[in-house]
Amino acid sequence: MAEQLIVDALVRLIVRHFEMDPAQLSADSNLQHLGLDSIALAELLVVVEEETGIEVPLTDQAMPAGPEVTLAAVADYVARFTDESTRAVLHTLAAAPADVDA
Amino acid sequence: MRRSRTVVTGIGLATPGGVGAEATWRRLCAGTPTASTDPRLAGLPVDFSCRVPDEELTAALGPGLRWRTDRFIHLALAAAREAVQDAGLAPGEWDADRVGVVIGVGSSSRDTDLPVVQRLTSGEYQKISPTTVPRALPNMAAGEIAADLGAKGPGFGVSTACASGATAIGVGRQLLLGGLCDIALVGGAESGCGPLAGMGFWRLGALSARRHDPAGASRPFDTERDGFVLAEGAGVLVLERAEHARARGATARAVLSGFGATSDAHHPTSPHPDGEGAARAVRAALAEADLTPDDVHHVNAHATSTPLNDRVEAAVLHRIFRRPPPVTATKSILGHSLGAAGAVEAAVCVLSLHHQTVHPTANLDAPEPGIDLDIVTKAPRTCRIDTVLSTSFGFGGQNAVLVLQTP
Repeated sequence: MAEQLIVDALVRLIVRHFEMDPAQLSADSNLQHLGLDSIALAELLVVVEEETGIEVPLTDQAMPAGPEVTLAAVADYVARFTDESTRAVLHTLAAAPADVDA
Repeated sequence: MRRSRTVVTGIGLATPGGVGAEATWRRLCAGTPTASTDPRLAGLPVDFSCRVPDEELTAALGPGLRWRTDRFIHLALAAAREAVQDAGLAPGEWDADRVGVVIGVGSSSRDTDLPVVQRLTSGEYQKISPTTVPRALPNMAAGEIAADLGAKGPGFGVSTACASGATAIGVGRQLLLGGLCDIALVGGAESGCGPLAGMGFWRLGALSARRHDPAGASRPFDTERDGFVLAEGAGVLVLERAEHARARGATARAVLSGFGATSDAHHPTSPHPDGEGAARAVRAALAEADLTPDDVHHVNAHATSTPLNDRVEAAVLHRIFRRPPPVTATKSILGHSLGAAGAVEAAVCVLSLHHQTVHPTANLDAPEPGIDLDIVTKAPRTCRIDTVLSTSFGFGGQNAVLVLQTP
């Protein structure tokens, strides 16, 4: 069960960076079905590091890969590298409106 | 046996004058330069450029592409979509294997290089985007157009620096005449007005330094000219063999009747002092179109506003034409969009043929002594135009000249 805080933060980052509709995005969303391929996943992790300071390795064995990757799986992976200070950033991020235009 | 004619059945433009052929033509006829102070160049020795309006470009592009593509690709896509629509073509209905894409790009935009370089020097390798390579490859303008519109024939980029757009049009025409495709989406796209490209051109001494008066900076053929103004843009033409266009009931907007390509083989950045390579390209294009200089009613000149280029080009026109026909300099209004310029100007030529009108050249207050051309200034001039010549000259001494005619 992915942590909602991280899912919410990821949704906001995806909406902003990939210009996607937040209504499409939930913990169960399959990234490939959303048109986000392996390059997009690597890009998302760069954005996570850029925006939250969480250093998410791209080369770890546990990094989600393949056609079945969901947003929840990415959130679980990101959760492994969070600490107290980056959690505070996630809270701020998740509290922002999901829609960029909102 | 006379070989097939190549016709232009659609055009698309994304320029500092606006996204769309009509917006661009209106701006050109108004004669008001698009150069202005550019916040993205703040603090640099040259801090102005001609930019395509952001909101219009974003609206034309739609969501989902910007994270992985550089700006020259956005411009290319906007122009290609318009050109295909203008040609009355519906991607999905065409024979995709027979649609080719050839787009000229002088260099990648370099607008996203700087953050990458910063991360390299700081050792933050993990923060380098995985899009770094594919977002900037010069062939990706053609590649992204092909994917966006479903064009599955021959596809590639061509690069002849500031002549790239014109070269791509000529090469695409050869694909049609060689039977390699039935429809060719051809043109050029570039956004080389970021700090890196800007400072590179500035150090070459190629840019106008008229910071106090950006709008007056691009002044081709004028005594006070001191260099070109960086710009961005894209122009795309839909080309077909005349029989193919006729068979599907499409209207030919122009005939692309001649292409001349030559090399100066002289100097990396300076034109040959006699313009002999440029002159040979003009003659080759006219010969291929089976025309004499007297048949040409209008010249859309390369005219960058650099002191040497304009002087050499004017001399070439004097040598070729007994009395040069009306000339205009699109770059006086739209700036110099480098690899896109030749294609933008070819599309402008199609509009000139359609409207039987030459748009004015801005900022020509006092032509340089010795430049005795009939340059249209102040207001558009309506006149008979059956045949127009468009010249493009690139670094490397690479020259490309197109002849366009009324259908």
